[in-house]
Amino acid sequence: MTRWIPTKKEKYGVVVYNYDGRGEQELCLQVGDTVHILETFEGWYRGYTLRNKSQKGIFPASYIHLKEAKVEGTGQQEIVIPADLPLVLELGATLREWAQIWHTLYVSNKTIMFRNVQQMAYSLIEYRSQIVSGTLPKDDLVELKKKVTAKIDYGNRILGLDLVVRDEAGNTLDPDFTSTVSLFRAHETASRSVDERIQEEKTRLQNLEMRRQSLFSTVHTYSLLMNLKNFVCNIGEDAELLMSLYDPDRSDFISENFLVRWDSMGMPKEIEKLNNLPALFTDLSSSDLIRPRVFLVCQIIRVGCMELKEGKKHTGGLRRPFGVAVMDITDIAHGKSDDEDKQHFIPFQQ
Amino acid sequence: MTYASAKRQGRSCQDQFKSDLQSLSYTEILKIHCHKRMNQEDFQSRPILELREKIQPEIVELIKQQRLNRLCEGTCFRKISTRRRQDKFWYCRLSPNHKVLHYGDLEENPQGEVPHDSLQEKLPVADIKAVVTGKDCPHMKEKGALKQNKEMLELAFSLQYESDEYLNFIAPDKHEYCVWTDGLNALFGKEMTSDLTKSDLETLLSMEMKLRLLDLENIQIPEAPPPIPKEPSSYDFVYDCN
Repeated sequence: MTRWIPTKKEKYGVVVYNYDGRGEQELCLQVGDTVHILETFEGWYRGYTLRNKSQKGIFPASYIHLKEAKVEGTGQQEIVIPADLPLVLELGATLREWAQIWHTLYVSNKTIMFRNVQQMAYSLIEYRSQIVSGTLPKDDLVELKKKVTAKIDYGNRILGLDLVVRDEAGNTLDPDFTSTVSLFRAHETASRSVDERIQEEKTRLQNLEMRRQSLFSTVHTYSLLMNLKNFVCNIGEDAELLMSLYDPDRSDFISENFLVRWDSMGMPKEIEKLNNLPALFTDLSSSDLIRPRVFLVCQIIRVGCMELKEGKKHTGGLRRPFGVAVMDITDIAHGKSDDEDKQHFIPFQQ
Repeated sequence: MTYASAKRQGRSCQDQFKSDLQSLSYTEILKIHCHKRMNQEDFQSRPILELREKIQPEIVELIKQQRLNRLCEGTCFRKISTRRRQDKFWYCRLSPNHKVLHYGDLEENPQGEVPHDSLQEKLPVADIKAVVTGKDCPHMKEKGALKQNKEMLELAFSLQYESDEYLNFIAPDKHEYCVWTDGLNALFGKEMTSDLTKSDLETLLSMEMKLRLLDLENIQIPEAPPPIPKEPSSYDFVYDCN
């Protein structure tokens, strides 16, 4: 009589397709689950998923991709240990543990920590897949191993989890095979290095902050303050004064216009600003300063009707250039004349 | 190898192939490997989509809890006045047992949470008849409000508790608006539909999926379900029965 037989080699596998159990005996499987196989019969396996060890059941063998594993113990008490690299297993376990915490962080609305853990988890997933892919040469693998263990230790620390004690190569130390003293020493070095890393992280942030500050202080911008006291000209109509900085060598205006409106009585339109019409030309770069010549140009525009005698009925609001005034401010811009309060008189040409 | 040969599919000249292989630098190869791995994670195949759907309710439950927690913490809202904008505030939060909304006026924008007992007004959740948002809110229908910009419209929601009595809210920002509408929907057992829920769901779900599939790395997932064998003729197991 045929009957169920305990498996010898087929012990551990991954579910490659979702399976909905149909009877009481059958186990529901989800893709990605890992299963521990106990016995087999007529194309079926019997065992349990490692997510829910208490529920045993049968499932089709075709849904399982077998993986190598080491078995410890026999019969009912046997434990499967997947034959993957220990680090890969540790990564898996760590990630699953973190995911739980990650969820609670989400629920309790700790946004910053949540983002942190998310980033760390993603980089661990990436590292893991690099290791598992088996395409890395040996020295890169060693390098990566160090990176991974550092990351795990760091993450465990900031999440308040236990520290895993390892040897220099990043392998977990087995308390059964390591003396208490060396275990203690290894623990000390490990926790010290994690502290250092946290310190590093802090100083890195501080450095970033400092650099940002120094960046601000090293980039100089210059400003030029001018103050229009008065404008005397008998136009008999409204006028507009446009003042700007001008580079005569390149025939180029290097600033925007500062506009003042003047009325027909020879007063500024905003009368309260009489004798006090300041303008600040800001954000001049040092390249502006080294220009060989800088002029302050004042354009005068007459606003009104075509002919003065015509009255206001025919044409109005016509803007016509009336005159221009220019002053060489190269010396001021170069900082050679430092008399800030000196008043200049600029004649204009019609 | 496959990459190099694919690159020169047209010319099967062996010399070409060799020189191509040589021209591929080590870092380039690493990059190609990396790229390949990314593509391998084929999240579109059917069993994976099924699993996604299975996990989704758990994640939605998680989001719901988060939203309710946020409502319990409460939020400071700006008062709406039809005339001029005054800097008056009021605070609203859900009681820890999810039964009552406590709210009350504040003089200043508070730092942190405001305790329940300092909020004088109460609105039992059971009395709330409906939640309305945007244009349907009474405070958005008022004349003065019409002039208010569209942003305001997107942040407004109201609770109807008597036949025509409303508690009117204007959320401080889009995020807070999503949290509150989601939370209120969750409170009444309705679906949470905000953009925030969608993005949260995506974040949480994609992580969960990645973790579930960790052990499937480098293993091909079949397109169709594998054949299921005939039921075994015996259930006479070696090891114990459950």
